Amino acid sequence: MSLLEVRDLSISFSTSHGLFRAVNGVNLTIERGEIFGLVGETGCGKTVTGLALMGLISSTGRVTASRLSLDGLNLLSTRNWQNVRGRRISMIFQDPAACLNPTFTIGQQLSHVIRYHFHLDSAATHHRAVELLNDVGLSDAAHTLRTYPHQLSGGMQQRVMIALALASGAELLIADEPTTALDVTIQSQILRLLKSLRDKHTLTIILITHDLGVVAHTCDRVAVLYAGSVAETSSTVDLFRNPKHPYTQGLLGAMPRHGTRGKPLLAIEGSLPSGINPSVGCPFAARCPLVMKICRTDNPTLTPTENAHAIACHLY
Amino acid sequence: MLIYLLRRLLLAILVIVSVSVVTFFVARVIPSDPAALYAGQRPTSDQIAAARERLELDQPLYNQYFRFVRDILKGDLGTSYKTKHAILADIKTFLPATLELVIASTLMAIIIGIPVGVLAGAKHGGWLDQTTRILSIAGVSFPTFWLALVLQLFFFGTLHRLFPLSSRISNNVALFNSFPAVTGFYLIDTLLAGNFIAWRDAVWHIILPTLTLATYPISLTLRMTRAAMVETLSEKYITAARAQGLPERDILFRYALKNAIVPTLTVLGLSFAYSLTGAFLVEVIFSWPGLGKYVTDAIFNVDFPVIVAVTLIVTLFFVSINLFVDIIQAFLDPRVVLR
Repeated sequence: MSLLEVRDLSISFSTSHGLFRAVNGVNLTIERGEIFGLVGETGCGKTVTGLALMGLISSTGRVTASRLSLDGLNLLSTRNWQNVRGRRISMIFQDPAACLNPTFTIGQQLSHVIRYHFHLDSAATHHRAVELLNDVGLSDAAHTLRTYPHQLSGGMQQRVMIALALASGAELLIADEPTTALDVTIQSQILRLLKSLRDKHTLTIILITHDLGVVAHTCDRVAVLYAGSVAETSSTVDLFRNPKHPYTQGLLGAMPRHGTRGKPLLAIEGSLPSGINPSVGCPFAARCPLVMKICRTDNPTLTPTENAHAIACHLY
Repeated sequence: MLIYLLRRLLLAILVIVSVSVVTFFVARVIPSDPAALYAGQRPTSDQIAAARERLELDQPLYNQYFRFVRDILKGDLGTSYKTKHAILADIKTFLPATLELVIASTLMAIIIGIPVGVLAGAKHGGWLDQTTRILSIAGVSFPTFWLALVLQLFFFGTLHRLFPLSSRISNNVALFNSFPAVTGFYLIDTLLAGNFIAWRDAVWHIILPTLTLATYPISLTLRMTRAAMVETLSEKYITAARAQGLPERDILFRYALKNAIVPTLTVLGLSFAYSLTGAFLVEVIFSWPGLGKYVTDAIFNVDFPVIVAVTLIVTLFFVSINLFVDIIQAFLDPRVVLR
């Protein structure tokens, strides 16, 4: 059985301008032990999807799905999210400096989470905290436990965030743009860390990012999101070798690569459609270079092709 | 941390010295003759001259100031022109009464204002938020004297003497169940003496004045805490804490409150210090023998040494409380030291 199954996930928010559809019928299947990339540009619904899996959508939002199951547990009927958050699914965010409580030491924050989830005594809690910090590559754990977040560098803060996310014993980690606020060398360190945690602790990771480079380095499988729905999903290798959806092709064409110096990068013309009054037909139709008549009237569904590759496009 | 504390302490000393200079000289230059007051009713010019010499008012001002500072450092706050009492002894009698009232009302502000503020902020726009908004706007807007009179009318009049009208303790209790003055705080002294009849009587007496005095700080604390909580709860570290599965109660009262309480503490500190003299109206209406009443009498009598001494004492409290608040804030939020 897959670890996480998402079918027809839709999330909308009521705003003063009308109903805003952030996510429209997303389908995802995440296997145990994989790193799954969720790619898309800003505003395509990546983060809200992650928050919805943890029941953290604010009260103005509405979440619907035909199936939302974590290892057989139906998240749709979950009343007590306290048993899911942290214990089953954890989440880390883009800006680690803002995600750590400035008024508690790292040690206090870690032991608070450990103690709440595992009811250990203080010696065992301390031992576990040191272990977690070592796991995320912070070797001077005894010192780090006594520091406050503002005394750490951005990379160390993100490592601490990962330790906090693991402290509750989660099996699924949602990493929302975990490297965006960090510089490039630190980025690759954090990504390597995530990979090694997956290998050592059989962690499953959903990596939310807008950076296809990050996906290529890290993910096993990937889903490309456009305007709140999945445009294309496949293994990472397949996606980069053989992108099918015009949007994916556009994204890959817009990516600077080795050996393309001097040549202009491709751009996807136009901008994201509004989530408040979505047009009928394919959401990408207005920007698509290969648009056909049917695209303007019918919204394509995600259709599997060979090699577990699925595309939502009338071309296939 | 140590540098931060030293800098705060130096600033505090600077404030006290400046206040002593300003109050001393202002008291000397206003057009009024303390010597005439000191000499009693209808004095002759010889008597006034003698009084002037005795009070050393004929000396140059800077000499008078240094003498004044020297006396203070020796623990002598001077003598009242009017009553000829030693001021320090007077303050020892009046200050505890005021402090007892002010501490009780500040505690009330903390116990009611902070938790209710947290809950109102957690569900802003909810019924608790709406209700407390109206109540606290009323609380800061009601004039103290009006509130005192209404409370007296209701609790003494309508509810048939549920709470007493005035003073710190009933006369018959003071006579037949007397207790030694150790701290000057009746609530503590009666307990120390194991005198529960007097304790209950003292509690009954302090309720109405405390309620009157506490209305403003409760409202202020509640609104400050609520506003700070609304802001703090929108921080990313709160979402992160929820994602780590921490329970809502811990998130509100531990993760968020520790950040949100910092501005509230400043307000509490200021309102405490302000109440020391601001309690005057309450003290008059409830015949509470406190500092506010003492200094107001002194002001009407142009009794300079008393005015200056009380101003200094209040400054000392003001400065110490602010210092205390600064230190607590540095402990709550380590980044305060860096600012």
